Amino acid sequence: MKRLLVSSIAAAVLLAQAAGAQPAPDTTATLTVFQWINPQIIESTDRAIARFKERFPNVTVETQFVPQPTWGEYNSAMLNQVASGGTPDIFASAIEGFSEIASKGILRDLTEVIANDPDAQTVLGDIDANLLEGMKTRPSGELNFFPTEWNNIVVFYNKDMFDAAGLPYPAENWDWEDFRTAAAALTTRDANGNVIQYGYFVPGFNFGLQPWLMTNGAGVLDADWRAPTVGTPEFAESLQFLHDLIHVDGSAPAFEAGVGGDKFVAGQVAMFSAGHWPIPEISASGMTNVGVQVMPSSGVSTTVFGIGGLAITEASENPELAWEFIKEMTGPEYQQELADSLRSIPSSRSVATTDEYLAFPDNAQIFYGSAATALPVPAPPNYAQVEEIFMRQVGAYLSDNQDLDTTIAELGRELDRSMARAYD
Amino acid sequence: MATLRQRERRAAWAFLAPAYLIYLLFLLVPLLAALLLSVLQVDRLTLATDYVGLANFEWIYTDPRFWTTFRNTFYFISLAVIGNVGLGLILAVALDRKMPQFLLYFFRLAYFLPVLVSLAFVSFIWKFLFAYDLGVINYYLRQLGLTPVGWLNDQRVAMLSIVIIDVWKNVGFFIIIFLAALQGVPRTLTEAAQIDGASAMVTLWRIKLPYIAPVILICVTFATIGGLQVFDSIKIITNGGPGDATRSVVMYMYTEAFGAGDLGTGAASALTLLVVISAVVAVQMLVGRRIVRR
Repeated sequence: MKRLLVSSIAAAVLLAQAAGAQPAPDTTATLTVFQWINPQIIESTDRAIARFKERFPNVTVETQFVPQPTWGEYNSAMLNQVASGGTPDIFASAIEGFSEIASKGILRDLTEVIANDPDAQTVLGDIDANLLEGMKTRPSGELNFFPTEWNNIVVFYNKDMFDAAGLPYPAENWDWEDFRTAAAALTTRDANGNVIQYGYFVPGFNFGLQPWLMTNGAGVLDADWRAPTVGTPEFAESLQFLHDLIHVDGSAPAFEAGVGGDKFVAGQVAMFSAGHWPIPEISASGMTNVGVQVMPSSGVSTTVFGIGGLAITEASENPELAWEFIKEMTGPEYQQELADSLRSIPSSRSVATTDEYLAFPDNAQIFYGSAATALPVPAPPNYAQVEEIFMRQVGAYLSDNQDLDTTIAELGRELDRSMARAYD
Repeated sequence: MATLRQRERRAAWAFLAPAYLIYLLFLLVPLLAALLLSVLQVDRLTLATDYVGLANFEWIYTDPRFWTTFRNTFYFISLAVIGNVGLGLILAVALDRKMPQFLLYFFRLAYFLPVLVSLAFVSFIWKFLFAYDLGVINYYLRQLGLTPVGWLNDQRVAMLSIVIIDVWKNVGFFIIIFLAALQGVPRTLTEAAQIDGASAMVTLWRIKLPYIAPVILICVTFATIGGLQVFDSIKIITNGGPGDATRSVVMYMYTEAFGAGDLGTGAASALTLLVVISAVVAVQMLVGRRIVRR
């Protein structure tokens, strides 16, 4: 234990010194990078490697791209790899994995490195303070990840469908009742009574459901992410509201897993909730008359956010080189490529607020505009389990297979059990 | 100087060694590891262990979801065995007759093709067919003026949908087995029955089915063991939902071991499943053999 502590401190000191003294350009080494997969990440990583090779021609960067069906499964893939002895030098994750991975003690604290690196200071100076606070690993308060991109949840709406229904476009201060009325008015049926267009797609994923809790002052866990708070009237109200959209108003299709972007593009729903990531598909479909608006409120004007970043593992034998590569993966070139891909919101405010980035959809300034007031998605060290329990129980209720009281009672029982095990 | 018998014995061991090594590596070692893990709490990163006695078993046995997954699994087995073995037998009997060669090959291929297709791939097609609002099946039900069915959304129907997919995927395998068995029935027996005036149905009932009874028993056992281990189709199509309506015991085991990261409770669930599989197969073989002997 003592040896481990000494070596950890030594590594931290070395890493802190690295900011002042860059590795020699002729350093020969291999860096391994573990990331989730999407076309933008692959392309941008290749370009970052090309830039990095110009500075460090003898360093080989080996990339590993891992599917991310859910964050829980992605985190699990990383932990399984570490357990089998294949710890990478650099690990990419989103807030959903920060606590889970960092709680295993396998990541370095970057706080001091950042403090001693003017380039890093410049990058962080261009990021909203609320997002930065969300980057910090709970409960340690360490900064294990250096930010790359983030996402929130807003409401996408088809302006043509609003026009056809004779509805005004959603206002910034719309509330749940406004939303419910609009969803009902946007639902259309054929002569036989079959729905041909739904008003809204109830999000079938954890991140998308969170704003429906947050805008009503409810949450799955308390502020410390340690205890369940599913027994409040607000929590029940939020679930009831979504349930009624599907089963009472009939203005949303049957609950299913997914974001709903494909149904929006196909003209089957007039509104859906998502972050920035469906925009490339919406643009590619030829839809141009699309707007976004903040989540409707029921007392609290907010939304959820998640932020991604890169970390250096304790096992890395080349932390200084890893830090230099992370800077390449988070610097201005990378941020611009991220903005060009439209797949998420660059963490850099100046890149995420250019006219070009905000050109589509209408009102796109609300993406970075929500940074100061958005709340981080609850992501305790047992995130994978919390997500699985929440989606299973809420899914059973929203698909009308379980009543609300049973859902809340079972959520409480299972989350209590899981949190006790996580913090045992 | 080794004797001939000694040399033969050495040679026998040398020939047997590869098979035994594979057995040791892939069956015995994991089994022993599971036994050990079930009484330990393991940090899967540092591999630090704590002996916890029967705490892992207590954890899963006090979780009502564990028993729900067992109930689901047996429900699945009862339907899947009837579907796979029953339908497989009926179709095999239907195919076991004189027909043009190309037609016979066509039917065999048509029924066996799903066995060869990747389930991960066709699951997406099934999901599309079964979708509630925009699915093909419900589209036609609505056109006929019928109420759409929550194939994957209704907990009363979801498991049936999984069984339909399972039977579609696997029935071809059982058809081939039964067809081979039926074609192995000595022609002298069936011809003698026909000469005695037995109808085709009587011949099937009194001659063919009793003759292939051991094969039917093996198929039932095979389908039962497969059913107890059902995982991939459920994982892809419903992920155990809605709620826990289609969650199998293997999915529970997987979630404990790799979702919660608790190898101990995962191993405890696996061992419980092993005991149950052994008990079910033992009962099946015991009862089945008595029936076959009759």
